[in-house]
Amino acid sequence: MTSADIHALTGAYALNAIPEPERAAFERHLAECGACAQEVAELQATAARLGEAVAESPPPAMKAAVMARIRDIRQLPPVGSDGAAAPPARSPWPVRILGMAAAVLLVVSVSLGVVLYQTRADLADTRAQAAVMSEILSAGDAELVTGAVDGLSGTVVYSRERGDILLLADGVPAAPEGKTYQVWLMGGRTPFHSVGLVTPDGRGRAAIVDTTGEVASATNVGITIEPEGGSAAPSTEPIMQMDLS
Amino acid sequence: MAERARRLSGVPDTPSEPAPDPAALLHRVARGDESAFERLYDAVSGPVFGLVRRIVRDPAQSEEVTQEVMLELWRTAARYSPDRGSAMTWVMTLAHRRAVDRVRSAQSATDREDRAHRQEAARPFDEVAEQVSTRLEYEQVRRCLGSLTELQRESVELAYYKGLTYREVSELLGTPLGTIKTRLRDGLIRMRDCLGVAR
Repeated sequence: MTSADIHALTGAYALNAIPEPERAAFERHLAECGACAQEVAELQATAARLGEAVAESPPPAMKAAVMARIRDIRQLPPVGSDGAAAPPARSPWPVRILGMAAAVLLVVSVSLGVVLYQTRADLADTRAQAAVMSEILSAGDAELVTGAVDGLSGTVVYSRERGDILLLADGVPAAPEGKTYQVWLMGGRTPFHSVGLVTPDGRGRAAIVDTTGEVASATNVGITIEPEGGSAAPSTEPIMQMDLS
Repeated sequence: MAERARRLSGVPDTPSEPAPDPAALLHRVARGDESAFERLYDAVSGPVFGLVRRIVRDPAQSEEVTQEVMLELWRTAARYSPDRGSAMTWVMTLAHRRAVDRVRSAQSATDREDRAHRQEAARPFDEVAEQVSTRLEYEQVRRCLGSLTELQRESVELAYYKGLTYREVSELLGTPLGTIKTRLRDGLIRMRDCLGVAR
């Protein structure tokens, strides 16, 4: 997709008319294109007017129902999320990189679009990822965290309610000989829940999904280097971990 | 005019008091202020419900989605930032997304069997004319929609009020994807200028 092409999508985006995974690709573009973001903001405001123009009173009983239900719903704190209306925020990436030589830094960095637009060879897989991502994003409590560390960017999408998490990475160097990367959900019901092994593709990109529900109680996602085949619990310090809000 | 007024019954023509600023309300809601939330509900539930109903159509499901949107506002009020645009835009964008999520997941099964609905689909804005709560807003939007080319208007309405993706709009109208993308953008830009939207 050329940049002229992608720029022309501002209208479709403001109308929420871009299907996944293309939408994710466009959001990535937005994060880097100030002019596009400005245009999208204006066009979203315009679209909102189309919506306001068709206002209709809801059934009166709905109000009491909603007022009763908010008492059971915890409010989110005002920290780095990107809300529903906005392009991905450039919020600080909650990453703690634990001591490690730069050469083996694994940075979970994602370029949603890039990862999702791979070669045909892994289309099935990326489609599955896109489906999961789209599902997670539709959850009421979906969290999408994007950001950058030292020029590298990353994204994690998860919903505690649904119990799903998708982690996408790029810029991942090949694991050392005889080793593999293993992703963990930590601090939850299972102290070290293995999400699985990841192997970056030729361009250093990797993605992994966990739908077991462990994310509901987990406090961090971490990545360790393990012997080939993986371990039952981390045998090395995580080379990277991220806090889940 | 009398005819029109009657059709608008059930919704007050003029609000009894000036509408509170949704951004200020959201700010208070973020701190757990339930009475502010109640006022926010009064201010936005009409636009939210109207839009959701337009897209989802089924009354029970529309109510469900509207409630989800309202609860989401309660939950995520602290995440609203004025830098990103007005509170109303934030609310309506959320409502649109939730409504579209609902119909797209339902539609994937049915896979838009009825192309025959094109006629009906082509006039989604007029269809709801009788239901609008703010006539001024409605008239202005209608006037501006009228300033678009027929093809721009049709594309924008199918995407926004029917919740179609631009690919679906392209298929439905038998028009190349690139043309649809351009039309949606040009159409909205023209709307923006006509409505005098800053952001």
